[in-house]
Amino acid sequence: MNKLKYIFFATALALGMTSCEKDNYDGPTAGLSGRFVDVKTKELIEQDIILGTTIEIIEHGYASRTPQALIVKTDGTYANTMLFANTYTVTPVRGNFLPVDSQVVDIKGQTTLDFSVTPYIRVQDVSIVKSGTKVVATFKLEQNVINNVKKIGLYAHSDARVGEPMRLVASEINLNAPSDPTHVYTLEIDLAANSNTLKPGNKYYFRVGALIDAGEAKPNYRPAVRLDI
Amino acid sequence: MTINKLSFTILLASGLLFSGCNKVLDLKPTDKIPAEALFGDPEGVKLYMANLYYQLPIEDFTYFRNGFNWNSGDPNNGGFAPAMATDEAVHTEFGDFVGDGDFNCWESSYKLIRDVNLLIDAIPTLAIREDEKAALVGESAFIKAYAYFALAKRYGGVSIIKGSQKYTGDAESLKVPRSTEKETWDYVLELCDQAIANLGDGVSRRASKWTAYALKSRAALHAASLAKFGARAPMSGAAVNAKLIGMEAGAATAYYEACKSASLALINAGKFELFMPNPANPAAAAENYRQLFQDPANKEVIFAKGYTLPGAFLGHNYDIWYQPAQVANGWPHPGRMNPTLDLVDSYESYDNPGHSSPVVTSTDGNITDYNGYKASRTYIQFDTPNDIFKNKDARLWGTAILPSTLWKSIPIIIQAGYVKPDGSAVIRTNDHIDIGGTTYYTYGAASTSQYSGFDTYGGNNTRTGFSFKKFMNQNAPIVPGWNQSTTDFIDFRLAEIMLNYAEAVVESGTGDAALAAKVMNDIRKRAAHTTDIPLTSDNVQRERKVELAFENKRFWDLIRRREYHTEFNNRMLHSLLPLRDLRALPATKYIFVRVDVPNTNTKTFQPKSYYRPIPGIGSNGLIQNPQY
Amino acid sequence: MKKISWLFFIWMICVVTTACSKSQKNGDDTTPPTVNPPVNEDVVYDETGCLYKSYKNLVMAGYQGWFAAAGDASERGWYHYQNGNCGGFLPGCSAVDFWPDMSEYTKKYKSPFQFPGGTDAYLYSPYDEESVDLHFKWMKDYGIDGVFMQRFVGEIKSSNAKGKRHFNKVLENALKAAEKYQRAICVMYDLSGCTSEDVAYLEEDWNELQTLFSLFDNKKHPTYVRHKGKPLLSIWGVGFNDNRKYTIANVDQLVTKLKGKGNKVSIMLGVPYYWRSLKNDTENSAQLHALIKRTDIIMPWAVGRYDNNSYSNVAGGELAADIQWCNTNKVDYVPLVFPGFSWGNLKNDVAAYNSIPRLKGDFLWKQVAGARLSGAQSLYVAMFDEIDEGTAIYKCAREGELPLHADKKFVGIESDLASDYYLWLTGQAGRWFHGEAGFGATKPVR
Repeated sequence: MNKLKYIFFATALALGMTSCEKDNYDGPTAGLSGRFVDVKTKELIEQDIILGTTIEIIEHGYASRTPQALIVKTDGTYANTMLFANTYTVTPVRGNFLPVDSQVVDIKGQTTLDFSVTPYIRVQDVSIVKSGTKVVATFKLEQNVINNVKKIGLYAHSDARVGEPMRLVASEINLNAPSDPTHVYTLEIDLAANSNTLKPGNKYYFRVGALIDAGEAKPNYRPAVRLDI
Repeated sequence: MTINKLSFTILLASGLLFSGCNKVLDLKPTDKIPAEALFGDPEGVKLYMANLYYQLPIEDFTYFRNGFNWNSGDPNNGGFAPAMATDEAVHTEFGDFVGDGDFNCWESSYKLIRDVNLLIDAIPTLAIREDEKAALVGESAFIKAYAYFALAKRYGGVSIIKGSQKYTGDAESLKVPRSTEKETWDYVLELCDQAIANLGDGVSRRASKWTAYALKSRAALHAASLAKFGARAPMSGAAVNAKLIGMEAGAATAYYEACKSASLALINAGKFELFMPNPANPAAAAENYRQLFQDPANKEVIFAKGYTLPGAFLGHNYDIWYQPAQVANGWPHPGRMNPTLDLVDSYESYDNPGHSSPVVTSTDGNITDYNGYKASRTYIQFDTPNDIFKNKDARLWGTAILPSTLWKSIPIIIQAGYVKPDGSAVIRTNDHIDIGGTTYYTYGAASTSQYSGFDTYGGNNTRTGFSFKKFMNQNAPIVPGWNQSTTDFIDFRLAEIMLNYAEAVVESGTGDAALAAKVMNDIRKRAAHTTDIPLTSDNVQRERKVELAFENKRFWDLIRRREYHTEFNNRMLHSLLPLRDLRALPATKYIFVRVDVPNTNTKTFQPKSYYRPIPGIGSNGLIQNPQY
Repeated sequence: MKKISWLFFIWMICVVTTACSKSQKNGDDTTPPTVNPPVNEDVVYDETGCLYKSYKNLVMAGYQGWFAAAGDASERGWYHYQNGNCGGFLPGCSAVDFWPDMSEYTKKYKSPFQFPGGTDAYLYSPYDEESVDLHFKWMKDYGIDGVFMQRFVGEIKSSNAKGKRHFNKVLENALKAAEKYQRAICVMYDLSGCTSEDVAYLEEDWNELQTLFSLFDNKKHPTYVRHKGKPLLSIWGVGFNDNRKYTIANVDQLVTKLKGKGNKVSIMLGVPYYWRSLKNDTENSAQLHALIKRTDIIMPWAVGRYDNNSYSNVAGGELAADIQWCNTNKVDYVPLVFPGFSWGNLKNDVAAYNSIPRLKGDFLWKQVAGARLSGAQSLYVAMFDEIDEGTAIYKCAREGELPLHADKKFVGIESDLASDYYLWLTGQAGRWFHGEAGFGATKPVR
């Protein structure tokens, strides 16, 4: 009986070790991180955490050209610390800045790659304040392409990563025209009219964005502010 | 000793394995008929054809986001319907939307294409008359067109397998790269033309010239819309660069033209007419409309998928899932289709033709405040829980069960709560209050078997304020078991073709605008409208939305017109809460509150979902659609 | 001594190039780069007296010059007025949609067309010196810097003697008029319809032209366009995704040969609109980018890629990103603008009349402003005299003043505009690109 057990274990062990041998590669040890920086102001370019700018990377040496996607954080930085060391073609796509070319990058260890880009729109002189029963945002727009500005919006969420795709309440204006660089744009969220969603006594994040009317472009932002309502 | 035994066992096992392999290769399967035997006999061909029809990707009662023919094995799909991925309805409990794995048809379509290609190979060898052969050629083309249409609208350009493939030891030779999206749509229309040219002009449950025209009308409109509206949702990536998805706007003209001519052929065929086109009044119109779907044996129907017998593979489950809780007849999970207030708002009112007529609940007329009941607001009081819909389009009454209307002779109670005499409200809470010796219940009745709305018990009550009527069998009690429903599904009917024509004319700006306006208004007249409205894009789309509601067209309308991502950008769907207003006692009065559908989240359609992910690209080597 | 001046020249060229490509951002970035003497020393041209030493700040148009009139000396019949698909040139059949405004031509030919009332309609031939002279006079009068003379490689082969004679004569007329009116002139080869062999033949023709006309003689042709110290040569039609019979590699070899050891010429490439992202009209090949980086200017073909409504959305992102790419890769960039599009007669399709409407110049000006506001410094106007596709800016007959065309029709300039309106408007673009103030997104009022 014992012998049988022993045999069973030995077999199991043998089987186990065999399969281990086949799968005995190193885990991913390399990584790629960096920032999206405004070529003019040198500031980080704010992004969306979901449905935002994506970095497509294609690992060389495989038949498949299907890209892997890296997401970018709201503050305009990104990091993926679990990549296999190799040569990759790296392309930021569907961004809120003028498209930039693919580049071939050797990712070894933790590699840094910054993108110096021109945002479609610079949202400037932003003020977001609570005024009576409203949250009022004022800002200016400087656009770097001749496209129409599709819409501007003030977005609210309980999460700091608030943005156009991720909001509980939005107040938007469809411009569908080029913006006027001297104009002060104003957006309001009526807290009373949204009492069911933005509950009084809680803190929420508010962020303004502007979306250019160009292909798969994503909105441009300034950092969110937290307000007690 | 034991070691020996063990080795013996292994030997035995491997022996079995090996011999098993050999035998499998040698054996003639007893459950399969060789091709010659099957196709050698015309009856065999009929049998085979029945199987092909069964495989047609018809989006009927057995279709939902996981696939087709969901009426065998374990048919429990939770009561999901494609309508719940649109703004037509929500499920009583769940909020699932359009996920990457949903609404695919790759494997099933290619299986059908392979099967029909085998038949096409065999047709010339059959011992039948030439006209019978032509009919088979036409029927095969129709089936193939149907399959490629299903593929094209989900994946864009796909691999076109024109003839049956033979495996000769080289798997690579079987791989067919994707054609462009334009080539794929052109192929669908080409197959439709083949079918039209070869099929007879009788009307039956099988493919005919007319079903082929109908398919062409629908497919051409789909392709035209993609060309015209593609720019609303720009995409990028390898599949775009190779034109595997996307078409140029200029392609729209020819597709609209194809839609118009195919639609006209049906409109002018003299074989089809609107069912009960001249109702006496809205109530009659509502009942006619309901009848049209409860028993689709009428001349409006161009092509229907029949259900004759209950049972696995045979019946479907719409009645058990969707009839209101009060008529469940022992079935534990009824009432799951909840038409939204958003849909209800879309219907016209007879006193304002040509416009959607949102339900107004308060004297301030505000229809965008979804924050819930406020004592300070003045709500309009109504005498019954359905008076508020009095003037709305008959099709609303024929599509949804409205609060306190009769179904199977029972008033279906849908009430969300009451306002107490002091003005405070009790909503969506099981409670009661005694006033002047009478007990009033929040849900309108004392026990769960007596009402159908807003109680979360069992997930069986509507949470939108509306229950479901269209397609439901009013004539028989629910049989509480799987696959017991035998209501036929209308795949193509004249009203859709008329609306296809109207849309093609208005969107292309060419064609017989007077006729297009007439057919659109004919459909409205059948719904008891008396004032004609002009042919505009908005009017045509509203007509489609209300006339074709729950026929699984809305999903594709949103897709092909590239409206999904704008209609569903953090979209909340809405409910209408009927409340008994006890402030009015002794009078019986009801008020209504427009709210977000309780316990739901917002829904966002990702633009990448306009194309579904192609499965198995690791082995089939195809270029994947963007962002998968 | 000689070597030093050589080096100096090279250094100068580098400085100029750097300043050019950066000047839109900061003009003070003139630190001389370290010069590594190139392996092959560049040819240096005497540019004394040259009027157009760079395409920068110029507004130039394309010049087809491909028409012939029955009775002119070209012996080519109604070449390019006629339409072979419907039987030639007669009421009911033509290649042209617009009709030239003939009031100022001194040499004209009676056409098979009549105006309502029975008066004969006349046409010009660019084979005649007088007519080309008039066109260059207009350029001067309205402030258009000059033109690119189109040369269709398929039509100038030795097998096509009349074709070659025609284009040489038109070029001769144009060179003469360009000098007379001090208008910029440059040769542009169009590769449409070429085979690989034809592409190679281009070099032969180019050498022949230089011998024939002494194109680079600064005294004889002071208005031949120079760019980066070299005469400019333009090659149109590389990278298009429409199954051409020649490849990017063919053109690449051609560029190597044309530039030769001493980088003899500056080259402007006519490329598809989506050249940067290699999609839609563009062959999906990175070779195109490698080729572009070896040339000096690119001009993406925008005709038909947008209309007035879609312009901002389509062109906005492309323009800005194209210019960004070109700055990074040190290639100059010239956007194309066109007044509208119409080829109903050529395509025998009534739906194709005015398929991209001119909207009284709104469409043209939108593109002019879009290009300028996006940072472009020069313009290519398609075209000066293209009436087959209805993109001509020169004087054309107005609506209501057109010859009869049986069951077809001619398309006119909007009747409330003067026939010279598009020349005038292009001239306004010229003023703006020359640096005059007072222009913006709003179309100037005449």
